[in-house]
Amino acid sequence: MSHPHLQSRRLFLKLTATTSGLLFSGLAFTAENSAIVNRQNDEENAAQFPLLILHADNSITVINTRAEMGQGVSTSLTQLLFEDLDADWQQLKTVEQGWADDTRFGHQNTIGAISSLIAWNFHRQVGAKINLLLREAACKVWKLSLSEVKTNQGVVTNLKTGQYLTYGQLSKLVQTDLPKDKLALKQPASFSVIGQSKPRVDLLEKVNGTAMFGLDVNLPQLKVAVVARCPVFGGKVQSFDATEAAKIKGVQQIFAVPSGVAVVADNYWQAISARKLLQITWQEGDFATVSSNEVLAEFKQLLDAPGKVVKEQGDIALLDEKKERILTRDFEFPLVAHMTMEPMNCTVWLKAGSCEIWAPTQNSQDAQSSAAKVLSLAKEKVRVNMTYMGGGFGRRAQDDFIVEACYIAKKFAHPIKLVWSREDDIQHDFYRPLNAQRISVRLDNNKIYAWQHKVATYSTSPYHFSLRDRGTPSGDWVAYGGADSSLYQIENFQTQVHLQESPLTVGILRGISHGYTHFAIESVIDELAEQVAADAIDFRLAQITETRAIKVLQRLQTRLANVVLQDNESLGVAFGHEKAPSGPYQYYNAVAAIIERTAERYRVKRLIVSLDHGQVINPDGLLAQVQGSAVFAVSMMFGQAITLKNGRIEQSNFHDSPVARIAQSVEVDLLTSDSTEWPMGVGEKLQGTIQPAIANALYRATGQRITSLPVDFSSLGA
Amino acid sequence: MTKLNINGNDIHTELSADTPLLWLLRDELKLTATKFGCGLGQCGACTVHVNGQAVRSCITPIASLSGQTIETMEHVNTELMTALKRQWQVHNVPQCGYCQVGQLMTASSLLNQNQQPSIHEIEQAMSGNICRCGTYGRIKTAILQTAEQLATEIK
Repeated sequence: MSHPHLQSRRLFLKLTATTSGLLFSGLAFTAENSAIVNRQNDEENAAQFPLLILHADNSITVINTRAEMGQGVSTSLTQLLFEDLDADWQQLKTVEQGWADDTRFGHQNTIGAISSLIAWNFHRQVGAKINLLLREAACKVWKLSLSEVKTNQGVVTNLKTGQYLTYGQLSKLVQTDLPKDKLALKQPASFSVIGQSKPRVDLLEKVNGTAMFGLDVNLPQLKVAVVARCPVFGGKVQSFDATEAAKIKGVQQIFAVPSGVAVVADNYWQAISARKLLQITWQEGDFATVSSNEVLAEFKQLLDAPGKVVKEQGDIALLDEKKERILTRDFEFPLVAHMTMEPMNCTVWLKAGSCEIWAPTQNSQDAQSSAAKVLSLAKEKVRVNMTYMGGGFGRRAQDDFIVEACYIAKKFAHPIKLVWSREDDIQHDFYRPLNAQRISVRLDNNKIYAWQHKVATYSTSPYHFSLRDRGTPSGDWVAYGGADSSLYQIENFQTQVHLQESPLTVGILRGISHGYTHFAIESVIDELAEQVAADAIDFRLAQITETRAIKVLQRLQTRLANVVLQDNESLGVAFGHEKAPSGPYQYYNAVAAIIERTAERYRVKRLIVSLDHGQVINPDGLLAQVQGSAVFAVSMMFGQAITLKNGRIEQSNFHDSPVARIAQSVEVDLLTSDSTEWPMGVGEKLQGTIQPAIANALYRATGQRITSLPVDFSSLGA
Repeated sequence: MTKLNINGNDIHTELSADTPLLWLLRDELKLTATKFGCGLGQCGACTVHVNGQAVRSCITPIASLSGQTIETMEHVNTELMTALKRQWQVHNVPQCGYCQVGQLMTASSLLNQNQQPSIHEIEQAMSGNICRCGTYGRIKTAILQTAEQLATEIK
């Protein structure tokens, strides 16, 4: 092994092996962090473009502008960029994680599985424009017109003479200002990079441990900060005594910040040990009497009262008309925490008149704005570097941990790294809101005639991740989205919501509200199919006219014809989709879940997933996302239950909030379409389909409908 | 003062004796391949080798490690680990990647003791390592193939 990082680390250890621990801080800075500090490669002769640096040796450094939280954007978006750049994949030197920069990188907020949707235009246009600039540079050399040259795999060829120039040879001649006008992009038939299972570009560093996550950031004189926060949401510090805490060796300062009491020390253990010794009197506030059981009971009651109508078509009064049958089904869902593997953290270095931040954030641009506000700096004076992030699932779209770190950093001339413990992370999350739902549906001639969906939950608006939507009515859509639209052709349709404000921080979590609204919808659809004695897929097909959706369902149906279930197995299906009123945002998926009864309980054995999320960019990356979605769904259905008692979260760590472990992994059989439509990500878009499919399979096995989570096995006779 | 042997080097540290090894590694020695996930020995992200055995560094005080041989991913370069890392890459295992070093450290400890583990034995041995991205299926495949490959090489 002669990896340079390992070499430098060994050397560093040798040099410092006999000195005391505290002298070590900062020495590793140059070796470990030069790459991130001097991210702007100013190598002579290299051409700097918005998304890449073209080196004279013909290699290319790509800058990943969107949050890499495991979903593989560093790889898939590089594929999009390389396709229209017409570069050879072998030219790829490295992909560096980017920084917040709206003028250079466009929209960077990484939520809603929209990275491929955005990059399908942005990255491909940048690739095509650089390709044009390279052809123009070659034309200048050869004194030819554009029609007399062509590119192929990183080379510009002179069609008259057969001579060629590599992109690298043109790096010092090429113009780097991108043309403004949109260019024509490659047609799917000529794709050579899109649709290929390129291995992840971050593989090596993620297996040898050199990948830099937020928590791994190291800087000169870096100190570690922790914060004691009020256990009750909405509470404040009334007074505190730090006498004992300050005695812990290594503690630098203890002081109040808006979110609690900050302890800054040389290392994490010192800081967390001191935090335990703080004597804090909290002003807990009104929320200190609230428990999730009572909240849920209240939400359930609200379903009996008329709510705010957020969507209506036809005449919902027809729900009461005496047609063949009516079905009403209630659902309730608990709070869910994200529990990313890497707890929240943020490193801030406030200098004179400027600031540099390193953060595992899904929302670097809003983080930049929020930090600038706290630090009273112009946005341009705040650089937010994106690190790798140990999972995101929507949690890192929030700016709370960045704002908190900025308040702490204000006190210091040296950098500080705010670290959250696992307990902090679970107890101060932006939870998927608990909610109660009711669907009432009237059938006519075996078709859905009238449909009413009611959702009672917390308002997400005050905590919306997007600064633009925070505190506005549109900030609430992520609390009920999915209940307000349907591909099923329903004449008379209505959505009502009850949204309560509370100091409990709630927000988006992988799949957002669709995770629970589609759960309810697809469970009811399954029940309706059963009531009219129809096949679950046939029943859905009979109510849908969207061609892409029909194909997805039919593909699943064809595959299911060959599936033979064992005696201890049951199968359930569900369908998922979203389609924006206009624009390319749409996807369609269908899942069949096979569960098996083992000696002790039910186990999700296998998923058959059929999907059309547009053009597939990286088939193996897509499969990885589906496999991961399956495990995430199992965690949410069978493991996690976050509960509130006396205004505080009762769970604290993985022991009392268990998640799926290796024995609960699920086999995945993936059926993709050959769609060449505008692509959508998949990472979060399957929760609302996989989960009801599993629930419907459990119904087949037990005869009981799953109407609340986590699944209560004792009530299923398991 | 505590004396430890980490990655072949003698380390003398004045950190308090109750400091978990994880924080000596990460905050003082800047050996950041070993991750912080839970601080309770529940997730396995902090797994290191002590005398070749997988140990949770987040709950192991440095005082208990005097005279023991500690190895982190930065230093483990056995044939077995090289083979495991190769299979991890062949099967495109990592997603976010945060837990993967811990997974590899546990997997290498498993294959050290059991060259031909069954699926059930793999699930048992790896049950302490959480992956929230859900790469479990690929981890199992990578471990099985490493075992197969090493068995073939020995023959």
